[in-house]
Amino acid sequence: MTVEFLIRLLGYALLACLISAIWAPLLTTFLYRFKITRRRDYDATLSIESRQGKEGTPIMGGLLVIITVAILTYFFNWSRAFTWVPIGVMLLSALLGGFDDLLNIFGTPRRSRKVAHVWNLIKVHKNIPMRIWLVLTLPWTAFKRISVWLGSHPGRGIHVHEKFIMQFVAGGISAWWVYWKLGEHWREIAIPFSSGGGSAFGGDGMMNIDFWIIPLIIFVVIAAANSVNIADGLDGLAGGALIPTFGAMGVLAWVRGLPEIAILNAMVVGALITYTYFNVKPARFQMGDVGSLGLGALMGINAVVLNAIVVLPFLAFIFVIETLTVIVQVIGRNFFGKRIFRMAPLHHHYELIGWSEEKIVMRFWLVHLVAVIFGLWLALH
Amino acid sequence: MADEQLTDGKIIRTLSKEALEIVKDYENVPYYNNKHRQVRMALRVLVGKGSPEEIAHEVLIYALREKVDFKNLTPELQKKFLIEHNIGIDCSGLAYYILDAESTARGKGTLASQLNFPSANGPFMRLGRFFRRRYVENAGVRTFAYETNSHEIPLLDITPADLIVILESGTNISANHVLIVTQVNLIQNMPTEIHYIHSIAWPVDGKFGHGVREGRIAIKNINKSLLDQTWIENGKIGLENFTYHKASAAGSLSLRRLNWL
Repeated sequence: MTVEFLIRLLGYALLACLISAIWAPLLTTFLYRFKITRRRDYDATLSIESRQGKEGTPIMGGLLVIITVAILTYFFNWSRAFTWVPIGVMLLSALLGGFDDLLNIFGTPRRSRKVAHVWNLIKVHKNIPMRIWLVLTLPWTAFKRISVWLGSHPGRGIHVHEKFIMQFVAGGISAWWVYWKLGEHWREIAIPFSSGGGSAFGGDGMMNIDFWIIPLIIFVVIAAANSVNIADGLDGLAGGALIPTFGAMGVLAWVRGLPEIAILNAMVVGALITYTYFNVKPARFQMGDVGSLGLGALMGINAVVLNAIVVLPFLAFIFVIETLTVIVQVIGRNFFGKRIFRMAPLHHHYELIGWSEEKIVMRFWLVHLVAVIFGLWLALH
Repeated sequence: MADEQLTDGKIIRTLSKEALEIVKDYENVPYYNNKHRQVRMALRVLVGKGSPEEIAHEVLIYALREKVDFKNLTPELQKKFLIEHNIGIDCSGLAYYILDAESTARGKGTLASQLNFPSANGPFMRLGRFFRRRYVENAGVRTFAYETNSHEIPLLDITPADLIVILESGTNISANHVLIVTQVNLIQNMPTEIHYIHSIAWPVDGKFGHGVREGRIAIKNINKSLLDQTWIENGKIGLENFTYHKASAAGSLSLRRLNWL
């Protein structure tokens, strides 16, 4: 990789930045026109005093990045070997997020029956075929209730168990691509500081995990998509934090000789800069699930392609921390009977203890930046 | 425990300052008993076992969600807000936090480190000691009444932080109740009046009248039992006083002291 290629990368980043800046006002007008805006009746966090100004802000602003990157990739960076699956997985996840956003605004609440209620219906329902149907779907009912038990609130949007299945499909596609299409050496994961003669991993710093790469990839894609979704709660937070993450991944792709992935990441960085410009407080629009799930899945599959799964917790530091606080909160509530944080994810906790939104976002950015630099340093060893 | 010496050999003996602060924090908190709703694996504050801080926290979150200026509501409306959100305290939860503060103030350690939980043997409890760490949720009236945790004392020896334990009252044998002695008035070292606090719902309280409240027992004859004294609460005495009514109908009524206090 040469300096000429670096210049090309920067050019693509600038192009994505420019293109997205050109059509951002169109997107905003479209979202306002069709009233795709944040509303109190489905967003409980709007009750926090400092967040009340967000009511009426357009959501689905993440489309700015998703569409810009997808179109530019199609025209300038299309590669059957390397870019179509990451873009496909990103679009699939974004589609799921888009449905969720729209259902949250225009949908109607759906009920979630308790298992005991369904069990009673099985015993007393006068319609025998219905009883058989309820028996056959009882495992599905139980699966749905587990998600509610774990903290999912049945509402208008796509429910957690449905999201999980769709994300499993996206993760499955990624795993299929890596395991069957990219070849045997893609079943190895890089372990930092393990190369050298005395290494337990064969001296090249790689560990072959064979078919275990499949569940690992599925997990990484699902976790990455949801972690960005969880962290996307304050103006500028997710967008601003994703810039260094995708920037570092671009550098890694450049170093590892994957030009298509490097260009893809450069385009994402460029589009994210424009998005964040419009998303800092007071936000002109917000990312929405369409952006957070799409970019999160792209981040996950990026880590797989770049063989950076081990360092991903650092490259996606703030997203991982935000997700962990949600997990800790659920554990605290269900097993210890108390809130560990005032509210999860972590940024809401800081809001409730009185930090201003700007202070939280900027501190989170800086902490994240340090972690990303460390992750990059680690990945290069 | 603190003594205030008055003239003519009168002494007012009260709980420690720390325990009295807990008592004050629970003023205006309604009664909530999870036996009716059977909520499981939830925040302890939502099952009638929350500490004052946890209750304040939860109220803050609900108030923010519903755009309610809770601090500026009248005490009646504040209580109504708590009841409508199923936030309250049951009698053993109240006893736990007051006695915990008293035990700690006396340098005898926390209740969690001292109490035994013989009844904590449900299916989740059997999964391991991990689940037994939900101390306050597992500390029911019977837990306080177990011989490993408390012993019976005569009325003559009563001091603050003693418990009046009512077991098997009413038609439901699990309807147990506990009152915490907060103050004892003595003349020539003989108790003349007992002040207690508890969380209770009287049948006449309606939807919003119940909660944490204080009462007193005027001792007419120290040689007679607790039931033979005059119980006064909410301006009611005799069988009109539902707490007395509950105590008189109980399978067992005893005055107990935690073994380590």
